[in-house]
Amino acid sequence: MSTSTTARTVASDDAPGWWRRNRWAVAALPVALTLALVASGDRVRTLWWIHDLRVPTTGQVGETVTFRQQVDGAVGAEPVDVRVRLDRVHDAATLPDDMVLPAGSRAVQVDLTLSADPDIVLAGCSLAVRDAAGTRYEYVALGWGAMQPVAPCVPEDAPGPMPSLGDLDDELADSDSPPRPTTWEVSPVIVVPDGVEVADVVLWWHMPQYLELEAPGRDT
Amino acid sequence: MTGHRTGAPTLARVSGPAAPPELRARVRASRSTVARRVLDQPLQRFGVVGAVALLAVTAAFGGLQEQTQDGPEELAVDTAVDLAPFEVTVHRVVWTTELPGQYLTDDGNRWIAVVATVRNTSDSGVLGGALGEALTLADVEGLVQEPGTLVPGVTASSVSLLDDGSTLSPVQPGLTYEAAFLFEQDGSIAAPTSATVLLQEHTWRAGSLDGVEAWWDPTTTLRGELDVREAVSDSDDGQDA
Amino acid sequence: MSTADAAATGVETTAGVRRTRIQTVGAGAAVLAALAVGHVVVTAFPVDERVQASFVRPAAVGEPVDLRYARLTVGSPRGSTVLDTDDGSVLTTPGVWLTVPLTIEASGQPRALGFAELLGGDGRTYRVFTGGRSSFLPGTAQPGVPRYATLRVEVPPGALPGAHLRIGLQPDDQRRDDVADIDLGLTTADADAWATQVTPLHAGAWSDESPERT
Repeated sequence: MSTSTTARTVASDDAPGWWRRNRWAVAALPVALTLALVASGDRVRTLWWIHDLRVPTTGQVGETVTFRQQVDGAVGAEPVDVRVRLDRVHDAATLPDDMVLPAGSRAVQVDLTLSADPDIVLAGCSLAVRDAAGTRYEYVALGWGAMQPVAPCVPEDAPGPMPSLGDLDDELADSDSPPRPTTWEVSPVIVVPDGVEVADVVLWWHMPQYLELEAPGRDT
Repeated sequence: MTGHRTGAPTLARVSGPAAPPELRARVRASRSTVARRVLDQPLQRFGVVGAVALLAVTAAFGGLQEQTQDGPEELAVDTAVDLAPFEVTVHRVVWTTELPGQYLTDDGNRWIAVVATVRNTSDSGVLGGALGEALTLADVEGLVQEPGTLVPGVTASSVSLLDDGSTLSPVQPGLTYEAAFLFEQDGSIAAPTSATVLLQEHTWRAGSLDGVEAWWDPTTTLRGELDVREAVSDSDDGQDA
Repeated sequence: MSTADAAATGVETTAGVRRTRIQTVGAGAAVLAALAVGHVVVTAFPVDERVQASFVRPAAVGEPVDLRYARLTVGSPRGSTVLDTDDGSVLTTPGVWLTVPLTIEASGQPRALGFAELLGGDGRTYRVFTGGRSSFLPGTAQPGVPRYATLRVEVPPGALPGAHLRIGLQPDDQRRDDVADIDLGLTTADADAWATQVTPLHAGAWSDESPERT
């Protein structure tokens, strides 16, 4: 009788409570849970997040913005390093050759001044204008009857180096085209619906990083 | 807290007999030879036997895959054959040097056309690529297309409908198409008098890489050596523009 | 005290041995039970397809349907046995040609609709790709600028009554995204009339110009 009582007393005195015994594990539990969720959610980033414009480099009206992005080309690094200034956003005074505007739309011309080293690869760029709601209206080179330059951010006759395609580079190199100047201007035309006020101009080479330039107030 | 008694059985002693001493004593007392032999086996053997038993059990739940029959059967002309997802009736093999709407890579070459009736017997439209794998040509010298690695023989450079010359893709279910499988042959080689036609059937299963269900594994189920003759002009393998 | 200690240790020790074996068997049984319960939970309720299912937006001919990525309006379907593709070729069919004009207004950013299929009234699926005989190629539509495109598909006449047209964004994968389901409102009378029709239908390329309605 006394033995069992002593045994029971020994047991309750010596053994610490469950909470005390497991306090470090309980403290680590929310941390481990968060880490598990983050680790198993890596596909949210690779399958969705990086496929849209997420990381802006913003510029105010009239400001010259420096945009840099590390890019891995087919052969080596092809970094983007360019300075861009948005000069004007206005209704295009003359449409590109053969362009026929569909009913209910207008042509907006974006005047940009860019400067970069002549050996920076810039030819794979995309341009769009956005309204206050964030809807993106993209530049289309071959559309509505017109044939505008494929790359809206480089001069048409001197686009500079193209993204490397590895072994095909020698065959595809255009030795006739002159080197790109260090500073140049472009004026691509984008078709947008009537009634859209351009809030900003976005320019990107590889998502998710992009350049966002605030548009000056509308001038006719 | 307190450790195990030294006499108690532990997993550390896996090389010894698996059963605890009391159980072995009872088995010895029961005088059953089988039970005694079984309990005398070391634990490792149970592992091997257990693994084999587990594999055998998976067979009941689809662990074993059916193997198709041995060799291809003989192809008979003008007989409909089931080549999942299609039903194909081969009519004849002809050659011609001109087909409106089709362009030879070299002016001297000729077209060898396998004329067949094609039906999609599945529930869903199928892209023309599966049809191209379903019927191939062999034993003809000088075919411009190289034999592929996925299916035996040479696949057609295109499968055209006889009525309007368009490429048969997608192949919709519930419709009966009259088609010609076209193979280009080098003109410097004499026109063939016979050719072997190989027919492959596909299996509907999930792809091993991405789990997407599609028609995979083309397997030759029929082969036949057919006569090849020159196409008669105004016969129905000329295509009117 | 030492006697009590020894006795206490003895009780503990014997009980410890028994508890170890019971604990081992219990732990093993608990693991097996967890596996069995997990298997039952995963297989007993067929939620996989429902969790991944597309969001089907039903609509009728002529009424716009709002999808996540675009607003779609389906025009009146027409049928015949002959199709003029407006690029020089005239296509015949062992069944019936069905053409359906669509108006697409992209929303948010430019969109290129890549998925289309016809669920026939006969239970079969007639697939439509971006090229080939049965095709639908609207191209990339600029937001706010309506895109006019025509879908063409060849089907057996028996598939027309009760046929539904499904339009989506991604050609390979429509899970967890909006898919428009349009009841074309076709009847057996339509199917019979079109199966004997020889006047060619026209199905040209996409355009941003509103088509002339004859």
